[in-house]
Amino acid sequence: MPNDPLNLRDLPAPSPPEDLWPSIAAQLDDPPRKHARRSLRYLPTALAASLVLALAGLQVIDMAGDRSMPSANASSELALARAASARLEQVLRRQRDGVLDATSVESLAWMEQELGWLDVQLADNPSETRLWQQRADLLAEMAGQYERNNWQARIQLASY
Amino acid sequence: MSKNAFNQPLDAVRLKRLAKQCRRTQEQVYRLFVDAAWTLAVRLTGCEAGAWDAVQEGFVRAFRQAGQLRDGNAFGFWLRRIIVNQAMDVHRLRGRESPEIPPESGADAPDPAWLDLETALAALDARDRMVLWLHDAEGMTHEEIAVLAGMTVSWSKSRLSRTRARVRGTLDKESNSSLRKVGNAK
Repeated sequence: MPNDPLNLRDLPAPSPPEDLWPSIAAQLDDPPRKHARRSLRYLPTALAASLVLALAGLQVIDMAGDRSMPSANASSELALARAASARLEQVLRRQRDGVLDATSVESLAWMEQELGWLDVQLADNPSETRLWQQRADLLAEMAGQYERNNWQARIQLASY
Repeated sequence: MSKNAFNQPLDAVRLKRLAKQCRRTQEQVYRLFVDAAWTLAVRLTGCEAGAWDAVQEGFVRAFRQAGQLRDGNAFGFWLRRIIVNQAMDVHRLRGRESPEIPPESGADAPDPAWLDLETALAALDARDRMVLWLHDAEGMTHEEIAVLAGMTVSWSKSRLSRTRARVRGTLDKESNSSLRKVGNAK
């Protein structure tokens, strides 16, 4: 049994609202509209991610020559995602040395732990392309966050 | 809370159906975990609107990504992790809004001791509340909390002991002021 000296477990449990499930079901049916708020929030990051992934993709295509033509198969997709992941890791390694504001520290801490979770899953499924793609997306998001933070810091310094 | 806690396993058939985005299974799984999820989200966000966002986003994410999960026993804990993340995300988006005391479902006239505890919880910083609730009510270890928060084990330990002391201090103050009121009435 957990150590609960304040007896938090004895607090009466609040009841979930009846209309919560219909709302979840609606979001599952109609992802783009319901996700508009989040998508917009991550738009700059998504653009950065697309750019980095495209660059990483070009590099892999260069290296692989004819084997990675547009009709890429699953293994080349996996290679692309892995290459993007490795490239972003390098970018992040440089960015992690910078100074961060408190908000960025908090959000990056959550992203880092999300990354840890993905790595745990990848340890079990190292050939899962979707996981590698998610990892690359997340790394791109983190790189975007670091970059935004640096940009804001430069603006602030310039204003003094 | 034990009735619908996060440790309920999902059998392989359900997990497979979830991976195929079967709506009926999604609803069954939702009903299985929603009480625990709602309680957790209300306690972490300190308000029903925030809890709604966290639980909705949490279930949607869990259902969409269910195909990645191999072990049905881990679903509840996985969902809990997602909801904690969502709850902290909600807190970041909404900033430092004053948390409200969640309405109780059970008794008509809530126990004043519970109300005091609710008030003390609502007054806490979101991260303090998270550490306290995850450790004491959810039974998570400091190691698990540290991983979840991206912090160290000693951070979790010191935060917990400080938060417990703060809550005790608030509760003592409340009980002293009640005693004074009773004394003055006499």
